Amino acid sequence: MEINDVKHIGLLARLKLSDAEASALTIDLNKIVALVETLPATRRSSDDDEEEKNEEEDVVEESNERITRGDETRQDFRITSDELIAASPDHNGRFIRVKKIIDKDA
Amino acid sequence: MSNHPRFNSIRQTQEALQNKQISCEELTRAYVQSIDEHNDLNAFISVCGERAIAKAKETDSKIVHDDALSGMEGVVLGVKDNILVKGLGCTAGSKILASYTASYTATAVNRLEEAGAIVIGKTNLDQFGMGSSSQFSYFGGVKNPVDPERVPGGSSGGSAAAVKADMCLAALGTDMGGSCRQPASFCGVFGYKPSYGLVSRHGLLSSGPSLDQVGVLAHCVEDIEVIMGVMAGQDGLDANVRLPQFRSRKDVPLNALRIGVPEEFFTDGLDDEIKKAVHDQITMLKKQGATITNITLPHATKEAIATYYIIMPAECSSNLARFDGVRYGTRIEGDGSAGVGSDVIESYLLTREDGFGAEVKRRILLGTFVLSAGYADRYYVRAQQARNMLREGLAKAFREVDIIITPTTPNPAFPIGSKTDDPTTMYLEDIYTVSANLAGIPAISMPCGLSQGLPVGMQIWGRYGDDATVLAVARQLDALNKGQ
Repeated sequence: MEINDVKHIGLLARLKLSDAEASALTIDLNKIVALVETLPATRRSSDDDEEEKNEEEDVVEESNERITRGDETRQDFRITSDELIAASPDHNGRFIRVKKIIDKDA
Repeated sequence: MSNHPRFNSIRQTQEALQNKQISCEELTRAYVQSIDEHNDLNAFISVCGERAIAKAKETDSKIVHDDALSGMEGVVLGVKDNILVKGLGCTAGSKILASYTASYTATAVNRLEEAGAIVIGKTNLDQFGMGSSSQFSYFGGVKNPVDPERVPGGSSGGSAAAVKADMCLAALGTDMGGSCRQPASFCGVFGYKPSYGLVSRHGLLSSGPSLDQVGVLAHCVEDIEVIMGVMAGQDGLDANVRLPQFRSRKDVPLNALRIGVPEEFFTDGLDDEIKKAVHDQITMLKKQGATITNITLPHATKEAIATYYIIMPAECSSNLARFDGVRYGTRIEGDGSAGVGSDVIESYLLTREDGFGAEVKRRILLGTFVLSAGYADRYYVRAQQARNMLREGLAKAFREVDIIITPTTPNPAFPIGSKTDDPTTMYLEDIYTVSANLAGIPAISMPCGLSQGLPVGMQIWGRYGDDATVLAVARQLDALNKGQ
């Protein structure tokens, strides 16, 4: 990964990086990528017992299901819009103020 | 706490209150004083003394009427500052949320407060729970009460230090990759990560939603069991809570207990004194009649670290996208001089650049990278496959054994300032803990001896959902250690 790659990823991630910061992060990220590159391509052993294999696959399926299930819409959690608006760093009455969305001069 | 008795358990505290040995107000004031006396440890980001004392007075009025104390009454609690408590600041240890006040209370805290717990303040942490040292906080690093030259571990280092130094009786932490267990090990207290889906995460500023759980740091296992009995269970506000209500179990017959000892956790890189301390614990259980089986978990150490440091940053980069200065915390508007135009995008870029610390940025960048077009298959998909292999390996192991015992960390607490040059050396601190998060299984770290004069911990893992057995074995083993 080069410094320009890191700056580009920074923009994708909505992070404006200075040259010095991007340079330091490039070194760090290359070390981290080298670490995660040690992960081997995973293969199941063909010697595994079929019944055990199915049982273990069920465990995995259950594990995935408990993380990725769909959300249900709930009506019993109430937080007022006033409270939400008050948490914003810049608001005016019932509105959250933001900078202009499109820069006409850009 | 210098002028007051030191309490080591909920039961002991409630007995002292009930016997009018001390009032709840006096006790709470003593904890506030203790926080003040230990200010140098920097364990708390904010303290809500007046709020806590008002709550303590309610408990005292109950004692005056001779009503029996129960549940969490009189229990002074620290709460990690990434868990919301309405009306209190919640910073996640980060500048970007330095001015944020919570609009509602997390389910876990709500249940504990309704049962009488007294929240005394919000404990310090690595920003957004990203770190293993509690040195990556915008509000300054935490020191280890056992040796202030050393880190307390992380990311729940403030909670561990607060419990160890008697600034509260127990504390809530969160555990994304070992964040309750590793600091517990470094500070010499108990640290517990429940099974995924046992405790509601509603109101937790979660960074890694498939990994994070609200956990507990305490002086003893019984306190963890009491807190779990109150805090765990179904919550309509978190559909991931799918396990039945937690109930502690009586003693496990140790002579029928089957213990797995994975060889990969006892190889080079493990401190000799830690190795001996853990083996001594295994020997003690063997003397009680437990069956010890050497097992192999080939995907649970170095491979798990690689897996974790792909999945976790990927989730972090998505999850932290909401911190853009529009809805919460601080915002930098920008004046068009940053070279990225002068619209709302400039504000996002500058706010996030200023508000997030270096470690958070590293993980956001890494996560964005591993999820980007062309790299997702090479990293993220491969990591999910490895995660499945790890789960399968554990499922296979748990057909043969009831619990698995490992060290919590390869080394005792390291000096403040070390391991900061290369992030990967810090990441390897999690080598023995991340697998429990990747698999979602319950895990506890319990004190098991010393190395270089510093506390070290031993982990007990259990089957998914069998938290009660993990805690019962830890409780019984602790009693054996104390000669009870």
